[in-house]
Amino acid sequence: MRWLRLYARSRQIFLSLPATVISGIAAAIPSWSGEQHSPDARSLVLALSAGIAVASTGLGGQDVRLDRTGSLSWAWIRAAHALGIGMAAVTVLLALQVTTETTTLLVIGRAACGLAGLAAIGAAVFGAAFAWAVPFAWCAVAYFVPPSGDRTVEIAAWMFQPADAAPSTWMSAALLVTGLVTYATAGPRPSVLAR
Amino acid sequence: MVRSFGILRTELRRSVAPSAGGVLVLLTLGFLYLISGPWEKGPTMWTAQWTSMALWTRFLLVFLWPLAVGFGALQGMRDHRSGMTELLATTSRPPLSRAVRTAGASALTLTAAFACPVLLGAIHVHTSDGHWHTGWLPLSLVGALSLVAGSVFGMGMGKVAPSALTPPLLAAAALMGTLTMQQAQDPMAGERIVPLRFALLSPANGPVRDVLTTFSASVHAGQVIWLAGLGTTGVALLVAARRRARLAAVSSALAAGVIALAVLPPTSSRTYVVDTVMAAPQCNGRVCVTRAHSSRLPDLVGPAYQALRIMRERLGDQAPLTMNESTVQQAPGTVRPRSRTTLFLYFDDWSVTHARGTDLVRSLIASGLAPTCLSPEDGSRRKIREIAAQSVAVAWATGELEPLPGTLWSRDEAMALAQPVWETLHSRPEQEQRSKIDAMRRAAFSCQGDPLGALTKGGQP
Amino acid sequence: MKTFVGASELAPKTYAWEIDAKGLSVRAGRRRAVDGIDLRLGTGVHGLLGPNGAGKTTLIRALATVLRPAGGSLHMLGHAVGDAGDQRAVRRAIGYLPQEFGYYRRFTVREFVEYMAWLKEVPKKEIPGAVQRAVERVGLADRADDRMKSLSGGMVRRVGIAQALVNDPRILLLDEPTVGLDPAQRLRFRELLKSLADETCVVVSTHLVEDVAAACTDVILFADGRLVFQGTPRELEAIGGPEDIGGSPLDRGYSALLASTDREAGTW
Repeated sequence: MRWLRLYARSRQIFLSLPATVISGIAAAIPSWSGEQHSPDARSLVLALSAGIAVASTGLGGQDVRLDRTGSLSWAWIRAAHALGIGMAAVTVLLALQVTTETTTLLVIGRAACGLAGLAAIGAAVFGAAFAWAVPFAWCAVAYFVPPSGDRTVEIAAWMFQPADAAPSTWMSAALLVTGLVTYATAGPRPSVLAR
Repeated sequence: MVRSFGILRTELRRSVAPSAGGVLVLLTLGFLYLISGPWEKGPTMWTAQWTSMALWTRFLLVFLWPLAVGFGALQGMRDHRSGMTELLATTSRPPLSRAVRTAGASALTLTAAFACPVLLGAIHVHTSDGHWHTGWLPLSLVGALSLVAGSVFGMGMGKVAPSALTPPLLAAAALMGTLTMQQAQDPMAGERIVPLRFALLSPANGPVRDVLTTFSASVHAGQVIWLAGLGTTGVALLVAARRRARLAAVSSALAAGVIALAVLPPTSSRTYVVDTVMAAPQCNGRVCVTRAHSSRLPDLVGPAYQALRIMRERLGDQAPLTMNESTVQQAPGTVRPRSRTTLFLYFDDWSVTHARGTDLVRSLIASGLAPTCLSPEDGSRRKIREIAAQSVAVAWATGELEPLPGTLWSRDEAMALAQPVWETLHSRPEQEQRSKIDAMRRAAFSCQGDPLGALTKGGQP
Repeated sequence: MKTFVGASELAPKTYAWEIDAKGLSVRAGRRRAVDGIDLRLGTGVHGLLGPNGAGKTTLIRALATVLRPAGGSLHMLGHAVGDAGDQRAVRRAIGYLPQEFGYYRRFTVREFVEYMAWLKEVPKKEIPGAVQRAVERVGLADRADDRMKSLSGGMVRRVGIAQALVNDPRILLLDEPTVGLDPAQRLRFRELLKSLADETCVVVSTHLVEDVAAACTDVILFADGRLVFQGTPRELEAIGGPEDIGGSPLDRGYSALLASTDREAGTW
């Protein structure tokens, strides 16, 4: 437990977790004030992406190079961290009891997996400081793609498609696996913005 | 090897500016060219007119602006995250010089990135239709200003709060803001979450519904005031060292917001105005279109006069005399204006835009005899009955029952409804036919009752 | 060696000492890290020695105008430092290398030193030449166009020295400049210091006593925020005797002076 607490402090989780909660709440508010009381899946996925973007800042430590010199098996720890980001964001939304429909829950779960994978890819390729931009930008742009049954749309705007769209689910799974593997093996890129 | 230098050039190469500009260009061009949506096809597409091009590129600000703010925050954090603050405190050049160079580099790349889709759209519009006017320039200039101001504001916030959480939090908050305000800026919005005046503070406007609608001048003025205030706050936060100065900087943003809200128009009618240049009528005798669609006039004239002549023959004095393109903005849930003496044209109606020759004549006669009460995208049962009624009316005028153009998706159903009615009507004496047609026209013009039912029962009001 | 001589250099000096502090106190956090010292430094290389926590870094930061004096007076190059007004003129003539040297990792060496030169208001036309000279003086001319993030720790330190020198300062403040330098590079650094001794007031804070012995014209010993000794290295050596700890005469003089101040057993 002590080790977990120290790890959390090094990743500033005690700072980013409340921020994730707050951003999830704030992002879900507009969907509540709509006409119907169960918010639609699209706004919830957007709220989820905001939460994951904020949580992804913890994917790099204070000193990435120093972390690498440790003798732990960092690969497993990193993979668990990336998964944890997705789970934390989903938990926030579930705790707010935003919806009870299974289809919406499935959509949110799928989006969480894929977005966490994207955040991990972003951390591995661009560094933790920029990692938030990858899931955030993809979500923000995909939000405006009009829904249609076209396969390219289902892959490009995968997070907003209905729960039964198979290509979207595959895309989400592919992003999750790629993200976990890349981030676990390569680790976060040392950022040019920090020492 | 000694070479000439420029701090601005160094910042352009080494700061966040080039990545921010590159990402923005990729996202905008990818969006406009690769994703299909109302901006890509239809009469209001982004390459149709100058105003629609400017408005669609500003629509993209809904996700571009938050990204600019987020990248700005990344840039503002740079001094603290690199540990340079101590060394920078011992230099003599005032911090404003430094801030101007850094912010200026981002301003240049962001403006260039925003100019790319605008220039590409300009080329498209110029080669396709191209009635040149300058009314769209304020739209794009305010759009570029918004990116610069947002980025500078983000830098200020990044300097004040150099935590790694600042960029995503700021970007997410900005995205929530632009999304909610964009929904309220839609001219067709039914119920607005935020008041329109407040929503106009966001530079991202709603989707383009109508080629002839543009923003009024007070909207531009209010937005410029607000954005200038944001930018000034950003610069002040970059320069200020003490807490009191920072609070003063934030208060300048609030003051600018208040002044802007006073300048911005309160109602929808004062916000969205008809673009007078584009709406100027171009006439060929009794057939008038707006300047925006003046390229269609030559194709329209022949069938239009033919349709008017046929209607005059069949309806006599009750036939419409002129044909005008309507410039009225349509509020949601309301019916389009109609007149017995003037036939109103709408270029978002596919039966008009895509028909040629005799097809066009028939669809014009349909609009003249029984103008539609429902929107062109409506797919309900009522709409199908309306189309059937229109088909029968055109058959009465021309003598033959044929499907109306532009109704592909409901053609079979409408024909199935129209066929028996036409046969019954055709077998009646002329006077009875005329009274049934009049009853149908009453139903169609008042939008009460069922035009198809009036044709079958007939004669009864 | 300057290639331009401005009017200000031709004018006779209006001050006696480059750095003139009377009763100077500086706070670091809540402590008084520098406690009422009188210090007068002219041109030459002054070595600042002392145990950790003695207040050396705080003193250098105050001289670099990062910290404001909490009491007493401080005059640099004849200007009174402490009020917000006249610091710009003083800062143009200062070169500073902090102990924790932060830098823009994406910049190349040349771009970084140019940036610092611009920040110190070196005239625009002279910046390229000044940068080239500074980079050559620290021996990084072949790495001048490499990014800072690709340099080793010692090279980064040398870039720090280069940026401190780029504006040909009259006061040069170096806090631990030889960290990460190998012995050959330290020798070159000492030669650099000696070349500066005639025209510049250099204050070097260091732990390496042999650096002080070789290059400094003047030694200042600092402990607990107070000035314990100021004089030439010879004088410091004379103080030490055979019973004091240390490998060189200067080490022995150093520990002799520090033993006379109160130190608890077991502290480092």
